[in-house]
Amino acid sequence: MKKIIITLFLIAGLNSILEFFLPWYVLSVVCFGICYIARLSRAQSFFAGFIGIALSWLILILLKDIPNQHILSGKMANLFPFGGNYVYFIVFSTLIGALIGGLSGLCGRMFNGSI
Amino acid sequence: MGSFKKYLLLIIVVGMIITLNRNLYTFPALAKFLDPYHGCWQNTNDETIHAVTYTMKELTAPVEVRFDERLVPHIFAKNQHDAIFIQGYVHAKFRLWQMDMTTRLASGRLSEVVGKKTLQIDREMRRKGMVFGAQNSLSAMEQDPSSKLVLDAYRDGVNSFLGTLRYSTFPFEYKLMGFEPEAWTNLKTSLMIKFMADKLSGHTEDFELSLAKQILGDKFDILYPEHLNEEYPVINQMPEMHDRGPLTNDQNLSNTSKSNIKLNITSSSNEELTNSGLRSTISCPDGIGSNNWAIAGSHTVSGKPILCNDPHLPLNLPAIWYENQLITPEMNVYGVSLPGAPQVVIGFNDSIAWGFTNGYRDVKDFYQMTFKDASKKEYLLDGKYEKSELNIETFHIKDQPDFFDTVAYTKMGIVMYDASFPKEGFEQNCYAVQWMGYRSSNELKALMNLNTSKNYSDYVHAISDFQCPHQNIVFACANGDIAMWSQGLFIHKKNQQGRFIEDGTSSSNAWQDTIPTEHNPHELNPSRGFEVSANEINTNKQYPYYYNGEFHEERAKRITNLLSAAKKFTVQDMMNIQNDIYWQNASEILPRLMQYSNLLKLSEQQHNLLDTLKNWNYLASPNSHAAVIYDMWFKYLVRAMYDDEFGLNKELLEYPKERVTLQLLQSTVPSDIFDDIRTPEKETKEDIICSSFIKMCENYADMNHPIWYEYKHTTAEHLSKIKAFSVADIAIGGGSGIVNAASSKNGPSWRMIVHFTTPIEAYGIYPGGQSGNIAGPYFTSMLNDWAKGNYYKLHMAHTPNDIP
Repeated sequence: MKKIIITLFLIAGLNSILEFFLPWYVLSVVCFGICYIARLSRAQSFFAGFIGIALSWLILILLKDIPNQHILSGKMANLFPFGGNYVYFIVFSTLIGALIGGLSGLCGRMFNGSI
Repeated sequence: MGSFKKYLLLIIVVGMIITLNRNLYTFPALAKFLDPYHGCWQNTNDETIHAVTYTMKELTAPVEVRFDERLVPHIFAKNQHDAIFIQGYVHAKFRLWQMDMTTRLASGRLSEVVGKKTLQIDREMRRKGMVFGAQNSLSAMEQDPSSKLVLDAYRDGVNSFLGTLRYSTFPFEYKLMGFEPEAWTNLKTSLMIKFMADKLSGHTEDFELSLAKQILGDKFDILYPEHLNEEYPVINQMPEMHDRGPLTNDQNLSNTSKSNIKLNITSSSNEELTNSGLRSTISCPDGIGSNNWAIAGSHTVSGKPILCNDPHLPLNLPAIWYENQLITPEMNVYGVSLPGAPQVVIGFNDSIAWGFTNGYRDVKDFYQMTFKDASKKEYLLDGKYEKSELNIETFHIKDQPDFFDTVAYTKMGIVMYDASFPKEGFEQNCYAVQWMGYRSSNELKALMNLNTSKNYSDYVHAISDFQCPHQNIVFACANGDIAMWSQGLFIHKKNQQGRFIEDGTSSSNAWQDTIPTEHNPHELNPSRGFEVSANEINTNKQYPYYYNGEFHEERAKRITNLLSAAKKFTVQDMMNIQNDIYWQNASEILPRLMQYSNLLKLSEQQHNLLDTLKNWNYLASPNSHAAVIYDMWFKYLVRAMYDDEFGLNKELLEYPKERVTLQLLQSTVPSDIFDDIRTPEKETKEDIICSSFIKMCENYADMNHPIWYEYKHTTAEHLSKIKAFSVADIAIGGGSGIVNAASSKNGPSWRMIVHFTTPIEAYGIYPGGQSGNIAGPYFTSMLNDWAKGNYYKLHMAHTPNDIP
């Protein structure tokens, strides 16, 4: 359990640093690489990538959205079919990154030999 | 097996990354767009700034900029070049996408970033010669050293900002639509100016009037008179014309332009005559117009002149205007600019103020052309075939192969409509277009000189460069002068020339000499103590040259009445007039309708509606029920009066002006117009008024007792047309034909009042906000105050410390 938590925080931290300089898809490399090394179970690897990126994205989203008083997220929740509820747009944004993070983590684990 | 799975998963992950990193049709690149480190969330950064000193290497000296509480920049520079450079920089900083899209639209390049659905719009823009006109004006501007300096400085300022951009700092819409900003050019600046010229003078009624004349016969002159019984000309004094050329042409009826060409019209078929739904029956483009006026000190409480202007333009978001102040040792000018073009367009300096309304004189004519064959290589002119110049226009289309369009240029004009791009209803023929906007004019220079004008003669000199669009340019000066020029470059036309489609096979129909600028209608310090223009007819009948156009008298009448009051005016009075919602036409038309209401046996509902109208004060206030009821009644009346005459061509025609209908209602002579020619009975005026009332009541019953602002739907629409970024149903009164002209899509785009006290007192507001960023609070920060009729005091600064 401790190892999962360390892994996902490592993913969240490293991604948050690297994404400042590199395009968004570096998150995939981060999850792949860390899960390759960490050698968790497959489910754990997916979980670590998913939650790690979700944290990395959600925290920045909230740091942007709250001072903005939801002006952007409210409008986007009307453009996307979320009935104007900005919370859905925040969750949706986070899920997109998290999903790719999770799959990349799983993929990284699968490339490192047998389980 | 395990290895197969892992490679499959790898392919899925890579596939997802590629898919979510690119736009698909109109859908954004999801992951790239939603990524908080680079995507749309980055556009939420706070835009509030106060003081900045710019020190780019292109500047000759540092430029200090103070942004006030509304984010209006006050630019303090050592010279013109530096001031305009920074103006370009801040335009780009706050409005880049808008500038980009507007010039793409003007140059027929929208499809490059939007896709095939805008191809027809792009073709229309190229075919109407927008790029041709912009290039001609650009060459004139670049030949003039002072204009070139300004153009280059502006371009470099925009590009300096572009140089700071990377994906995460792109304006929001670039991320959403998935394209990148491109370098600014002087041609784009020219296109921006030409775009406004097209918006204001690019519409003409040649097709509608030609068709109406053909099908209406004797009734044409009644429904589309060149003059109304009651007119309020912009200019009442005629200039002296000592050097006027020989007067043989115009008053000589034998020289009347003969528009006897045969129109081959394909009637819009299978259109039911008794159709449903109320489409707009107003003949003018709904609400594009403007008001301006100036009052002499003799008529104000302070003894100093006041100038007011509110141009009515599309209520887009980002707003069409950007407010700014430019200060150099030689210039201190405040006002609104067009993002995409340098200088101040409408504004004031320490000595003078000026404002624009559209003149609406017809400066665009169509010619029916005869080509030898479908290749359009040769056309008939004066009995022999002339070679046309064929230009091939290339359109790059997003995700599609290029499209090519061949456009013929002839001596009579650019062939806008032909078999491959037909005019609806006129598919059989080719039409060439001639427009004043094609000439190499330098309107930028007019603005540059207006910005630094000190007195009346500077102003007259400045506007002499203003050729197209035709504008009524109002003027007031700190020394007490007020003036108005109906300014533009005009052709010395034969009687009725250009009112209808002309025969393009005879060079005698081509445009000939121009009228000398000093003969343009103008007035200085008129005896009545004020100048006013509101898109009404330009002159009284003493004016010796022929002209036609789309003129409307109702706002001019109302403003003239208000300004003629025996009182001295204050700035508050000016605010009240700009926000005046008295419905002039309704006040004259409705009593004519009501006088027959006793002929009706009324149900309770009908009785209630009639009572509402009886108690109405003719104010189109946001919560008025009566305004809705009147509007519906009038629209049903208009349809009942004219749809039978129009028959199958209804969709191709424009209804007569409201004030023509008023004239018919006022007339005591029985008129055939009221008879429904589709029925055997002979209907009278009373019959039609009563039946349209009944019809209105039936349809009104289906509606939920609407109030005026919900019914007229005043909407500030985002340029992308995306609803989520637009503001709909703004609670504002007024409407088309009312002084506060907030109609569904157009309205007062900049309300300005300048009072020449010491120091100058000025107020302004526009519907929108200084920033074009949809994610920020400055995007629509002024919209509510605008709807309420509030104003902001404008900070006319002289030093940076004047900005609080």
